[in-house]
Amino acid sequence: MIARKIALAVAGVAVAAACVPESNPGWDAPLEPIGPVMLEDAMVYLKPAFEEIIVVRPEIVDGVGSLHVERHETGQEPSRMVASADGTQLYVLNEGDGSLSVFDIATGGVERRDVVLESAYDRVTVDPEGDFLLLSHSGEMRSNLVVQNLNELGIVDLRGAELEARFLSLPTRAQNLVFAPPFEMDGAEQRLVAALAESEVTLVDLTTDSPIDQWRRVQLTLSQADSVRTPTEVVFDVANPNAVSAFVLTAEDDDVTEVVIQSGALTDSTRKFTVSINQLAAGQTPGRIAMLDLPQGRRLLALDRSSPRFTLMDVVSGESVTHSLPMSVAAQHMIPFYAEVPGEERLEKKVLVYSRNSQLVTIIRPEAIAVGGETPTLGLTVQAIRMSAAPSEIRMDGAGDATRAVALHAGGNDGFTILDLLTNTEIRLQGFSLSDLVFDSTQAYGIFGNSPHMVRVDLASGHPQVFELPARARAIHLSPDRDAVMVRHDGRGGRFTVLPVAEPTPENGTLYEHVFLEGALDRPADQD
Amino acid sequence: MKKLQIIVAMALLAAGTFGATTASADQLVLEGQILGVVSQDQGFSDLSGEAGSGGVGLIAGYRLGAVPEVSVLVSYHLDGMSGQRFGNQVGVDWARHRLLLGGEYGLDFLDGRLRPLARLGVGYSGQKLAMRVDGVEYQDRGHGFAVQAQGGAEVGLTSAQSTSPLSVGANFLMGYLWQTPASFGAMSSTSAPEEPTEEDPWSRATYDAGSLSASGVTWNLGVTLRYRL
Repeated sequence: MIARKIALAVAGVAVAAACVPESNPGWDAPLEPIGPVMLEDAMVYLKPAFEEIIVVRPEIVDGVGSLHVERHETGQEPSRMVASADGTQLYVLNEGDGSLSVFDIATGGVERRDVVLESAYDRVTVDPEGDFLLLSHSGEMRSNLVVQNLNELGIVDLRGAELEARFLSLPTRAQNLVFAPPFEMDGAEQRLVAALAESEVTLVDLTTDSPIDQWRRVQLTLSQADSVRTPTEVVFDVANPNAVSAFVLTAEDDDVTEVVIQSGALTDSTRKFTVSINQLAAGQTPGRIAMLDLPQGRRLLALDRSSPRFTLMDVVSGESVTHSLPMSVAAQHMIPFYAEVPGEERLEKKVLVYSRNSQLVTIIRPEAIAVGGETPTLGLTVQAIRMSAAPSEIRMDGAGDATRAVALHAGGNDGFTILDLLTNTEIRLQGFSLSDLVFDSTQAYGIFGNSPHMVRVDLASGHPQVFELPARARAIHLSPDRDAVMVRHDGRGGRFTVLPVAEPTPENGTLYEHVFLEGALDRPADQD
Repeated sequence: MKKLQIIVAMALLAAGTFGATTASADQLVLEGQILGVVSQDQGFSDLSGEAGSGGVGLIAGYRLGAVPEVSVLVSYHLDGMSGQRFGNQVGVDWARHRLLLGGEYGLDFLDGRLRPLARLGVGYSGQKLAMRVDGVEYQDRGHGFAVQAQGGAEVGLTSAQSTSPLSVGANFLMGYLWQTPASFGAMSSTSAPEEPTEEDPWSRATYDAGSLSASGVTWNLGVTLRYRL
């Protein structure tokens, strides 16, 4: 040690002569990167200090689990990343050079495209259709900020081979942005976005070239003197080709505001759209809303946020009916789903609602609820399933079996519950609580926060198979081919285990450690 | 690098002009030294947070009395560094050992009390890299070829005319070490068994940490024992 210090002191002249490179500042930053963001076939991490993303993919080679790790450069000072709705693209905001990088991460490859932005945005809103990306400001102060326009909105068009970006200044800062589904009006496809702000909603038209039609401001109050109304949620109804409705829920109101958008050609207006407003009764203190497409028409379902009730509204007539939920507390979450109707060749829309503070889960059958003068249909409108513990989260496989859901419980030893939504029964699995879960058709794979094991459970029978892991796992991922399962363990260096789904035993699995140190010595020099 | 070459060349030229060395008895040479290397490799700077490594060396040599300017040397050098990187989350240990075969050319002045000299050695260089995260250590070894050239001077603490066969001196040399990059392409766990066992049935994958070129400017400070045969 002493010899080394003397060596360094005496070598002062040698240092000057030898032109020693400075160490990359990324080696002084914490090792663990930001993430992961789950894509369809990979987990992606962001390492801002090295200005790179790390793509981790599981695969099976000769029947044994294997991990493929790739690194790709981002722009300067990447700050955040978001996945596309379909899990095939990654969007990275680069604060240093004011750009956006779009990574197309198809199976087996990564391609990058960049577009320059005019402002240091820090919020990204993803289009469910994958055609656009919206960039906005959160309003948070940052140390390197000199000045910026918080009302600016960046619109990135992802549809072409080259990314295109344009920028608008809205009348107020968008606190939340909600895409409307695509719809056709005046013979052309339209895309609208609702920008939610205090006491107003701004409708942004993504497809117009006309400057006066780029946005329309919709006030939720009569004047600035009124008390502030904070819009919390917006759902769109685009089923009617002549009029599109946006239903706006605010934190303060008992009503839902309906914003009706029609073609300007219908009224010879100079504007592309005409906008009108209605108020719909949505029960008392509605907290969550959802649009339901039922055989008897479009209905808006609203959950009461302060009592166990819900309201169903006919969006055409405006009539509504309120029912109680068989729960002791207000429902906080709802999951609409389609379920097979026994004896019939059709699917029925149902809604699962639950609260983290109640052991009861409720299944609502909106089709069986009469609104206004309708003739009620036969059958129970509301049914409850009682579990052994309150759920921390309920998950359903959006692509697969919609008749079963899995309820995770927060306690370390509360096991988990399989809900049969066809028979409204539950299968309780005793043991450790799940920390993460993925679906694979009629099965589900889960990991435990407190035990180094993985479980494969048959959703129909509830039969569990337990498999050993080298350590407790934090996240689980299934490959698109459904042949490999990858789990991420605790640890700053990046620890993963990859197992074949067919036989996930230690003999066929491989533990990868220090994944985030791979290629550490070969990074290019810091260019600054 | 160019400056160093010029300095060494001028020193040797002056020695050739003004030096005086006469035939004498054979000598065994033994030298212990502390040394330092200042690397110019980006990877080394990243790994260590500094540019240098320090260590020790041992040299054994034979000086022919008939050609007193020339000595044959075998040298072994060991240097390394340790540190904490990534916000003290990763422990790093790096070590290098070199076995070089070479020679020394020097001229005696002032009754052997001053000896400007130049050394050249070629041989094997082996490196070991270990990295630890959350108590889990992975390591690998890299092997390569090294060439070291140095110039400097030795000061004798005893006169060449002394009747004692043993003479002591101290020297300081500077130069350049060039070596082939070491590849740490198979970092493997130091705690896991080589093959899966019943207690630890998991196969652990190796990983490629990259390659390191630890060439750079060297210096050493040594104490020399010469035994006249």
